[in-house]
Amino acid sequence: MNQAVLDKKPTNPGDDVGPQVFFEHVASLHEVKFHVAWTETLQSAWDQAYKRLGEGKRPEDRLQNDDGVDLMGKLGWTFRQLAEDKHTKSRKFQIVGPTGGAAQ
Amino acid sequence: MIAPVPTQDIHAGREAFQRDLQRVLRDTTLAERSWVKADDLTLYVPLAAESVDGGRPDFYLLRLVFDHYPGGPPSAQFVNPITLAYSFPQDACWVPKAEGPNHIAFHPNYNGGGQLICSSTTLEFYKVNHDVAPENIWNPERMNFMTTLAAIRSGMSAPYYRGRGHP
Repeated sequence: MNQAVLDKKPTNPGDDVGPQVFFEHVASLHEVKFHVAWTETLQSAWDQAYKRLGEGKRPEDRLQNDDGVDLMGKLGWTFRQLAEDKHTKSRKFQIVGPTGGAAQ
Repeated sequence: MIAPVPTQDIHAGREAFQRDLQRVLRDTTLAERSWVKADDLTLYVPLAAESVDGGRPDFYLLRLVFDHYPGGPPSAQFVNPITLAYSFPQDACWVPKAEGPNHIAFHPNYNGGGQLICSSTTLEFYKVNHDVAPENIWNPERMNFMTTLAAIRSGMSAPYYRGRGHP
């Protein structure tokens, strides 16, 4: 398939309007879900999630998916790019605060 | 700094565990998450990691105990899924091995004292008087057992996971 077809290819029911994504704010245990466009960036969706959650963004907040993969280096990726990487396929994201351990 | 060891409070732990579990489950069930609540203070959580050779995932079983919760984090230990216990050295393979993360480490036998998930989100971390940055000390106002699970999952993910532990 060429890229134009891939860009339009739904992978789940409802995906034709863009994937549904879930953001869990771990500190408050609140979760929101909404649709995004395949061309939207993770950063944009993360910003939108805060608004829907009614939570303020703290400088130390990080984003990972529910597989535990850190996404802070991938905030500029689109959801199409995320879906094409086996480590970032999950559409469930967690907003987590800092924790420590091994390096202290 | 060295943070104080949290105080055991079974009554508070039972209530907070039940409260947070309901908030986490929302419209799902324990079975849908493959979690098992063994008693009022104990939760078993299966976790998978992508195998190093790219084959079938490596499965682990994490036991959380909430007898110091919510003032302190849950006890977190990987256990043998058959015996539901952990004994070193024979059960070291049931502890994941990670290389590289600076926020967590998995020790099958920390200083000869048994298993330690070295994270400020586990009770054992405080019991061994591990050094911790002030901003990382367990804070029940913004931390809960999902914080613990998120930290552990992070250590078991790419690019850190290196397969099963060994003695």
